[in-house]
Amino acid sequence: MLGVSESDRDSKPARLADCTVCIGPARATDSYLNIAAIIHAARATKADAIHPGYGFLAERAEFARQCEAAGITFIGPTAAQIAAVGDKLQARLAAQSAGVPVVPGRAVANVEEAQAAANEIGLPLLIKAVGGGGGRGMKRVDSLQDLPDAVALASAEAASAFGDARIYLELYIARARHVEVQLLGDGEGQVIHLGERDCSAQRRYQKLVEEAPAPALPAELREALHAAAVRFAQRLKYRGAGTVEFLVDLDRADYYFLEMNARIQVEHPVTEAVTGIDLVAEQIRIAGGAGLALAQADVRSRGCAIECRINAEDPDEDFRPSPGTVREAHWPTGDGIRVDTHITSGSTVPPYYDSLMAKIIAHAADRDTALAMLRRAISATRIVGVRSNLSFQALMLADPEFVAGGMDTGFVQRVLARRQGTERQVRHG
Amino acid sequence: MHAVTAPLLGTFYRSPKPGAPPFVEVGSTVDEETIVGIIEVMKLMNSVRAGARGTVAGISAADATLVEYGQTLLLIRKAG
Repeated sequence: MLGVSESDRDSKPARLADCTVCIGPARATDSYLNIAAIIHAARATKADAIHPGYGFLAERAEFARQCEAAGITFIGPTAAQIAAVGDKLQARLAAQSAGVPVVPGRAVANVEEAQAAANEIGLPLLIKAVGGGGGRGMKRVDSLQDLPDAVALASAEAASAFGDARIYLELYIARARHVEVQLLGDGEGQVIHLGERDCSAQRRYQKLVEEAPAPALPAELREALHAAAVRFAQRLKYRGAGTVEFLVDLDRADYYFLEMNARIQVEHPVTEAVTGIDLVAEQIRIAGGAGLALAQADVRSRGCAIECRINAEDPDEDFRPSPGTVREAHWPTGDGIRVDTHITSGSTVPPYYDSLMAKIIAHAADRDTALAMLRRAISATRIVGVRSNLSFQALMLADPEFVAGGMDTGFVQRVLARRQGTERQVRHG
Repeated sequence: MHAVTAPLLGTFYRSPKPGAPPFVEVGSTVDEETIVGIIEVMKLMNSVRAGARGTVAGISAADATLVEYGQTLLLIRKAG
């Protein structure tokens, strides 16, 4: 049974579902974020469980709590676990208690504390929202004189965006890779990892390309990340699927805990590809009380998988979202290619939600082969009617830094700068 | 014909309380503000108004059933 907003009534998932319930109008606040309507619909239809997906209410402790109160199984962690890792300060403390290194930093309540912290931590630094996450609400500060204004602004924005004005400061790591570890926990203290993913190709902290395993990572570092993630989640007796995100500091050859995402993630297909494990099936299994299907020794990783996110946005207009009707959609097919999408010819991309249209994943025995397959798949994809970032994906995948692998999070900015440079050459050529 | 649709998802009730007579029946005269039913969501009651002047021509949602957002509840034959 699928809960849909009015604008998703005729969507592909709605057509695939056994039945649908229209929970509200297009606006997310009145539908996908409408806890009362969703719980009411679940009770009235005698649903046993709710899978919250990702985004929307997936990490809203209050929603998990209300499911629990209504006797509906929430497929995910407990409400307490969501709250524990959703508060980024509490999560940092939990990491320290688990013996997992964190980025040098601390919470600050006012400008004076911020200045003291800046002297301790060093510059540049990042101001982050305690109630934030997912790359939102961060500000970089390069000099002490910018600090007071940045603190005031960050706090005000945090209050407005997350309903929590609290901020904390962290050292800004200049050259870092974003490496995250996929976990499954049975809620009783057993936690296994399913390997790591590299998600360093980001634009404004939004991931564009992800891959498993992380290329060019020393074995001891890889193992240390896995062990740290498992330790963190074991201490919480974490239940369900979750991901611990780390920053790998290339200059200091160190790693730091960033945050934990208490949900299934967009990029989970690359882990599914290399391990052969269906993560959503495991989520449902754990929620049903059957525990973990596998022991750590049963988890194997084969080959390499790379995923591109195809968004309805215009790479020539600063990636402005491009909603509208997709007159034609031709997605690639073939061995080793997986496409997760709700978009077919005639689908609409509404303006109410995010711009993700599809994930294209290629899996092969080695990275070079997977990359070549993905590049062919991207060039075989056709989307007519809305703008998409297909051409930019092709550009990134062809970039020598990506081909070499192991690039830091500044990669996308450099690709954009190179693209601008090329355009300038062409114009003045 | 004017369709009265559910302004929100919930349980549709045709009477103000259990055992009481329904707000309207087929043939009842209504105007824009006439309450024709209640939609309850998690114990909160929301009145549903006719939204048109005329007579109730049909009732398509049963008492105490789940109605979706946008579902047709009643049809009103507009007056004049």
